[in-house]
Amino acid sequence: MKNLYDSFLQFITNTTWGQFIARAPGDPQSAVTVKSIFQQDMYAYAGYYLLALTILALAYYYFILNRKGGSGYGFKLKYWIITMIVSALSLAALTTWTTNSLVNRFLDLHTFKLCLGLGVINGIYLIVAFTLLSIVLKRFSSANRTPF
Amino acid sequence: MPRIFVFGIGGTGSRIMKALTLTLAAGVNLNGYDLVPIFIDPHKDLPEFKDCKELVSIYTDLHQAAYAHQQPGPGAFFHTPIVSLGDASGGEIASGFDFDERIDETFGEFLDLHLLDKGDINRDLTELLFSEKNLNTPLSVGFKGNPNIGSVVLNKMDQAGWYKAFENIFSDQDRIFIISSIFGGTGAAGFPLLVKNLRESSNKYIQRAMIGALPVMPYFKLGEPDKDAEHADIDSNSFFTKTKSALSYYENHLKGVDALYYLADLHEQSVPYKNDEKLQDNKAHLIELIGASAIIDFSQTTGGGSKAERFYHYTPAENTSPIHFYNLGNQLRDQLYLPLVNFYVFAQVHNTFKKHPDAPAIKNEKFDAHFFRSDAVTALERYFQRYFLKWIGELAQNDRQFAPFNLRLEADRFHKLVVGNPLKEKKFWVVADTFDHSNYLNSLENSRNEVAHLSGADKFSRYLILAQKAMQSVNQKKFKL
Repeated sequence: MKNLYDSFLQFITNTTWGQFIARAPGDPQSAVTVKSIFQQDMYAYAGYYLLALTILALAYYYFILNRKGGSGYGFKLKYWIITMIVSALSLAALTTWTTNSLVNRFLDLHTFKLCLGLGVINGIYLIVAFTLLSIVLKRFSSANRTPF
Repeated sequence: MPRIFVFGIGGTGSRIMKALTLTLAAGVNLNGYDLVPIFIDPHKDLPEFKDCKELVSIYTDLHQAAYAHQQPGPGAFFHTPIVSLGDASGGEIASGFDFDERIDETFGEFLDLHLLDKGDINRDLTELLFSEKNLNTPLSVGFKGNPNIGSVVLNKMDQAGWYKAFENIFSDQDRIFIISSIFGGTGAAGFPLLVKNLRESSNKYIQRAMIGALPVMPYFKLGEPDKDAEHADIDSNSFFTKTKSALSYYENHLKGVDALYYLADLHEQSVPYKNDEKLQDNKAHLIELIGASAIIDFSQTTGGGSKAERFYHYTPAENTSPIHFYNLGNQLRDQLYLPLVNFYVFAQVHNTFKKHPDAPAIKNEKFDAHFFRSDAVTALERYFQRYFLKWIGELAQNDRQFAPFNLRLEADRFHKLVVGNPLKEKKFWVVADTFDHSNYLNSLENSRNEVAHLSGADKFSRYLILAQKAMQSVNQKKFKL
């Protein structure tokens, strides 16, 4: 999980952990704790959330919205995009909220940027995973020509 | 394949043939028989006659376009072959569905009365049997309710080339069905003559063929004839008298019909048809649909080796109006229900199929814009609009209403489509549980595996077969009896 998130988080927030710890006002031990929370807890949570929401979104789109014998025009690309965007935003929000609730006690460290960064990363990963897994799963659904 | 030769005599013959063609298009099963319609009507300009011929012609074109290279399964739209006598005879006569020629002379001229001198005993006898009005009747407009004229004119039928061709091709398993009215002119005259000619045919198969007949008794009335009007020849007040006369004649003289289907509707119309065929806009009538079902029933009866005549009649479950599938009577409902629901829905959703090129089935089957502009699809659309939907609408508008479908659905919601069988609307916020055109569009994709064996088939053929499977799959679940 660390490999999946750590470098990307530092890239997207434009801050390495070293810089984060160095810039920490007062006790740098707090910044080390934050780093530890991210690397040992939050990346794992984020991974689980990513997995769960991707599966849920794909199942909803391909096997509920476009279930065999069902109704509606769910096969249209716009509904696939909507499902993906809503899932990505939900995942980003959930990840951000969870992370923030674990590290918001370190008020002086301004951790929200890191929390939001992790949320955005998870949203991006969901979009990638959703797209790739769609290619595999679409053949088992009525919407077997979506997204392409 | 064995054939049923259906003789449609006069206006009623055309109207029932029209109903039969429309029900066959919906996939109603004729028990594996090919249908060979033969129209007999000297009134070639009658709009309903021309209309019916065009309908049958479009049907044969559509059948040919779809199934020229493979045999569709039972239940497929347009699966029953309708073949013209000309084609069935292998080109012995011209292709077409009516072969009796228009007679552009009066009845007197037809009899060559002018060749007889005044005072000639034959002329005197003729003038005794036929009134001056009869003798001056132009035959180009039919027999105008005069079976005494019709029986003379149609007696030459067995000398015609088309009749000889029919005799030549008739074979062992073939059957014959005759549709006529017995309260008018052409049908009342032609029916017993035709039966006589058939049983006296030189073809032994015709002599012993199974013959069914539908002599239709009065089912509409006309306005009082205006004495000064140009078209005041037919008086519907005499329909019952004529019917009684015909029935008493049949009782004693009509021999050789194996299955007789008697049909009438004594329901009095509140608004009679106009007594002028130029102004008449007779809407389709339930009796014509029931009449068509007689031919379907006839195709399914077995000869049983007995030559005893069998008599059939039809009674609805309720004598009410409107009639719909749920008070139509069980046997007829079972015969027509799903095919008509399927075809009606297909006529409704076909445009939706066109409008969604991104739908999986439309993409996978390559039903592209080019396909939807093809001659076959254009003919199909014409069939829907000009004939089938119009016919369904007319059945619901006639005085004796047959209204099986809710023709004014709100926002394409199908829950209330079948009158007498409304479905409950379920509402879930996450899952769309609407029941509209989309159900059929999705079903089209899900039914594709059922036509996998037709991968090499023509696109139009696949479209028709796939559409029928898709309609059937949804309707069987949703509108089950």
